[in-house]
Amino acid sequence: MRKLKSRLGYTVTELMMVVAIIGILATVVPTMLIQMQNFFLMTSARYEIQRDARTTLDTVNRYMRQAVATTVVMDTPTGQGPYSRIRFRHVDGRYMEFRQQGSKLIQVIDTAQSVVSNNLIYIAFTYPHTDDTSIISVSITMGKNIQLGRRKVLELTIQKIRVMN
Amino acid sequence: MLVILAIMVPAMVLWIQRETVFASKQSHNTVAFHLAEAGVEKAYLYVSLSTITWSRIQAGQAQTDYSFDKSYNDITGGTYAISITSGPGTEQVTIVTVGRDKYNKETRALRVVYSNAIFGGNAIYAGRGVQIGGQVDVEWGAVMSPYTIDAGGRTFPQFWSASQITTKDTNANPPNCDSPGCLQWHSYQANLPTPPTIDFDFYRTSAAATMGCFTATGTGSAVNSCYFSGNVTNWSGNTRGTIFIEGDLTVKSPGMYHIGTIIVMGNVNLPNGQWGNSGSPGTSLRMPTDAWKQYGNNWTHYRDVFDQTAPAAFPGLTATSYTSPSLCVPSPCLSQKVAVNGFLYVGGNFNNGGGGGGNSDIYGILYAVGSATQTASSQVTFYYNAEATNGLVTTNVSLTRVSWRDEVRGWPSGL
Repeated sequence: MRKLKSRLGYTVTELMMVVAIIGILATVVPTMLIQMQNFFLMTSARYEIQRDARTTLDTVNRYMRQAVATTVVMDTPTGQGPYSRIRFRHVDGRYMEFRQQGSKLIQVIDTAQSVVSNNLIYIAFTYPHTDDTSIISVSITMGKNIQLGRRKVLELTIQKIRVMN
Repeated sequence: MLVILAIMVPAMVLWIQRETVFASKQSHNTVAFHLAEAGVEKAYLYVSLSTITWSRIQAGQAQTDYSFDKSYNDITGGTYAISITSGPGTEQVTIVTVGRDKYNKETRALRVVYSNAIFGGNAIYAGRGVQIGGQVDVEWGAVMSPYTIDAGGRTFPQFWSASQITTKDTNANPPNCDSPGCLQWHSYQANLPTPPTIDFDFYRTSAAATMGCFTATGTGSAVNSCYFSGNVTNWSGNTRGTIFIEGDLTVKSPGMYHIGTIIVMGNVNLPNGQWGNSGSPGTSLRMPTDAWKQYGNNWTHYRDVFDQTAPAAFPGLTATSYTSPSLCVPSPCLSQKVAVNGFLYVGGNFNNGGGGGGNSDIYGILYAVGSATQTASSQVTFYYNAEATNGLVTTNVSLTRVSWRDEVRGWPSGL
């Protein structure tokens, strides 16, 4: 009797299992990758605008504290949000300005301009106490669009600053 | 998949680490700043502790624990150090503080200047408003009041009010100073300095102790201090020292001339412009070195009258390249008719609203608790005398913040 010799190969069952696993992976992995990328983008965007908000407020705070209170003027630049510009004279005599220009926050020192942030959605300068012009409230909303998923992260910060001069 | 994960996960970890470093650095920086601010508060309390402390600082004495010789660690989060020195101006102190977080990674420094210049460069301070009109001018020093000031359209000196300044600004909405540069008037100022508390008991006692003055009506000539328990209704003559009047003071012809301090607890009335004594000797006036700052909106007046060698244009309030000459020449600085050469305190209202009666000058400082009305039709000129309050005895040190600024500075060596 001829003995059946074992041959290398896969059973149908094995093949079906492999195909099933590949199918599952093919279905799940792209979704996972997209989610991971979204997560990465969201996280990085969130950190970025949080850092932006922190540094922006730090910069605005530092200069506005050294402003001369009587020289402070808050107004609305053409085409921008209400009271999104503040102008004042620094205690050392320099002219200073912070203003919104689209999604940018612009700082002006004398005639030199620089961009403080590229993620600005909204900024407004107000007097929280109308009888005390040495206190100024700054409200900032930073935002960044995420490419995938068309989602947006937002960071809203409000700070009161005392003008010291 | 594993390859992608191997790329993304370390990238995220690195990203987060970097953000953490940023956040941590900013946190340390903020802590250092708050410590520096705490140092300013501590220094402020120390300086305002007593008039004796103030005098010692003004004399240039180094203050133990306040000369960058001690590291304070009474506040969690780090340490701070303090330096207190006199200057940069007279009756001023400069406080420099450095804060450092507990990890010694961030330092922040603040430089704050406080003034106890009694009236902070003001020729006239009136608690219930000031009216400048007629032929009255104020030179070399500012006019200040927590109430309305009627500047009468004047382009000098500086005017400071916690309310409106008539003809300049009657609207509380900013801007509340002249443009550009806020050189002359400042309206709706919430933080005007608190006037000093004069030690009346001291002056009562000293005025009464050296009696040499004239009769109760105030007629005659006195060379020493005087004390009056009631009204003085017909004052004229030449006097010096300390005059203390519990009631009102009314000056009559031919007017008065006083060198020193006059304290009137009631009102001062100058009917029909009777003030400067025609027999008063000529007085040499010493112009404060920063008198020129009062003329940012009328530099021509300053150049024409006080210093024809001054720069052609106003140098700017922060300029250090120019100082006023100490001796004021030419005329009218050598006045022939001076009413007061010193400090005049009025507990009630000061009224110089009369008509003629002759020109007269005042070389000093007027502090009226009530209103100060200056509308005489005769030429009356207030010349601010920065030295008028030298030695003025007060019961408190009333500090006014002159400037506050961030400074780039490391931790003091040796601490």
